[in-house]
Amino acid sequence: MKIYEIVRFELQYISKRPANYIYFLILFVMAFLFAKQGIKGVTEVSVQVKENAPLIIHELTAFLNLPLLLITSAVMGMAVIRDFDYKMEQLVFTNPISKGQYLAGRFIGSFIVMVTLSFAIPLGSMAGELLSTKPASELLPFTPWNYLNSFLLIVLPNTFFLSALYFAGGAISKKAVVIYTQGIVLLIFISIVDEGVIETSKNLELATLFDFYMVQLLNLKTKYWSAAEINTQMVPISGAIIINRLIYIGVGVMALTLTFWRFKNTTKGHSTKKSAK
Amino acid sequence: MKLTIENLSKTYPNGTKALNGVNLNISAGMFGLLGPNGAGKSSLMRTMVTLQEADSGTATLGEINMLKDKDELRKHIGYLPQEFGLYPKVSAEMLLNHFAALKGIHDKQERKRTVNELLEKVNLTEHRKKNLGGYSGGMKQRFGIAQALIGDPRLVIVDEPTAGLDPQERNRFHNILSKLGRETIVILSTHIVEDVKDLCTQMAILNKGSILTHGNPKQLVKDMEGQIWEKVIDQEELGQIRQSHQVISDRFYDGQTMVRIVSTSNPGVGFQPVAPGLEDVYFSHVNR
Repeated sequence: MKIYEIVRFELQYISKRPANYIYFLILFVMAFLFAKQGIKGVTEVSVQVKENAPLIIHELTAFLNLPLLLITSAVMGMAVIRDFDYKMEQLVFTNPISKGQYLAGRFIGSFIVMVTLSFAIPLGSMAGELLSTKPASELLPFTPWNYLNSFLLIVLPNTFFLSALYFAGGAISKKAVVIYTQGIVLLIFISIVDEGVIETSKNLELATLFDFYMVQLLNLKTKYWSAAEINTQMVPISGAIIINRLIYIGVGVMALTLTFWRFKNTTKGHSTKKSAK
Repeated sequence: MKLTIENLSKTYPNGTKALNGVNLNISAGMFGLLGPNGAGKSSLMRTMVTLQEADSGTATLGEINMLKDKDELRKHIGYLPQEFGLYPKVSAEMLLNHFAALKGIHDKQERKRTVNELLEKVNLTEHRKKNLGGYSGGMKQRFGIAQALIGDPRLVIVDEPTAGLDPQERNRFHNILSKLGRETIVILSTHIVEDVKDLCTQMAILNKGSILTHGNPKQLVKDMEGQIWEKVIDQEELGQIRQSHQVISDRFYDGQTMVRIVSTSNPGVGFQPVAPGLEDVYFSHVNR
C-alpha cells in the first residue's frame, strides 16, 4: 500500500514536468525520421535485404538507444536526489515508511516513466515505416512484432540496466553532479567496449557477450545468412544473446541491491544551520 | 503519555559534542526548548524524530523506544524542521494528500477530509490548488505545520517555527499550537525567550549539549526574585563590573549605560533591585 502510494505520487509528479513530454517527442521524432528515410545504406548488408527486415530494425533500434542514455540519467538520477535538492528529505523520512518502501516506490515509479518514454522508439519507427519514402518493392509487409521484439530484446534490458545504475548513483551519493559524471563515464565505457574491445577482439564470440547494443552480436549470429534468410527470419534467442542480456540485467540488480544496502534515510548529521546562515 | 530522555549523547565525526548526557521528562502540553544557536537543539530534535542516530542513552515516548522502533514512532510524530523546502511544481493539496497516505490514512474519503481540515486549520484552503513554489515564507511555514499535524500525532516537534514570520502570522501559529489536544506533547525549539514565556507550561534551557535548567517558566522566574539588579553607570565602569558580577545585559540609557546583573546578595551602592523576567533566567544560565 505504501509502495503503491509512492509510485502513484511519483507518476503524478513526473507527469507534471514538461521535460518528460519533450523527451518522448525527441525520441519519437528521431525514430520516425530514421525509419522513414531508411538506414540500410549505412549498414553492411546486401542490397537484396529489405529496409524493414528484422535485422535492420534491430540496428535502427540499437542506434536509437543512444539518446536514451542521457534521458535515463535525467529521469532516474533525480528520483531520490530531488528530495535533497528541494530540502524535502526531513519531511519525507519522518513518515512511517521503511527504506525499502521508499527506494522501491521511487525506483518503480521512475522506471515506469522510463519504459513509457523508451516506447517512443518502436512507436516512432513504426510510424516512420508506414510513411516510408522507399518504394514498396524494397519493403516487407508491415510487421509490428519485429519492432516489439527489438524493443524487448535491446531497449528494455538496456533501460533497466541504465535506470538501476543512475538510480543507485543518485540515491547513494545524493548529489546531482555524480549523475552527470556517471553519465559521461558510462557513455565512454560503452563506446570503448563497442569500438575498442569488440571490434579489435580476436575472440569475437566472447567479446560480443558484452555488446551493449547487440549490433555486433546479431551481425555475428547472421554472418552466414543469405539475404532471403535475413528478410524472413528472426535471430533465435539463445546462448550468447541470453548470456549478454543476463549480464546487463544482473549488473542492474546488483546496483539496486547495493543501493538498498548503502542508502541511509537519515540526514547527514551536522547542523544544517551553519550552511544556511 | 510521557516523553523520557535519559543520558542522551551524540558526538559528530568532526569531534563536536552536540549532545552531552541530556536528561528530560516531558508530559503533555507545550514544552519550550531554549538555547543559543549551536546549543544542540536541532541535534536533539532530529534524534527524537528518527533523522539522526544517538551514540548512547535512551528515549521513550509512552511505550515506544524512540531510538529503536523507528517505524512505530514515525506513526505518532509530527515534525516541522527549522529549514525545509517543498517540491515547487506540486500543489499543497496534492502533497498533503501524499503525506497523509504515507502516514497511514488509507481510506480515500478519510484522507480527503483530513487534508481539508488541516488546510482549513492553517488557513490555506484558498491556496490549496496553487503550486508550492509560489508560496510566501509564511504560507510555506503554515503548510509545514499542516503536514506536521497529519494523523493526530502524540508528539509534535517544531524547530524555530516563527523565524521569518510577521507578528500576525506568528500569533496565528501560536494559536494553532496551543489549541492542540490535551494529550499531545508539543516541543517548541527556539531562541526567542518571549515565545516560551507566552506559550509553554514547561521549559528547559540547553547549551553546549547539556540541559542547564528545566521547570515551569513562571516558577523559574519566581526563583530569581531578589537576584536581579540594575544600575546606571559610565561606559568605562562596565569592564570592572563584569569582573566582579555576572552581567545579564547592558544597554544605552540616556547617554549612559544601564547594566543588569545577577546577585544573591546586595551588590552595593547604586544598584536597584528589579523584577526578574524569563530573559534573566535564560541569560543567567547561558552566560554563566
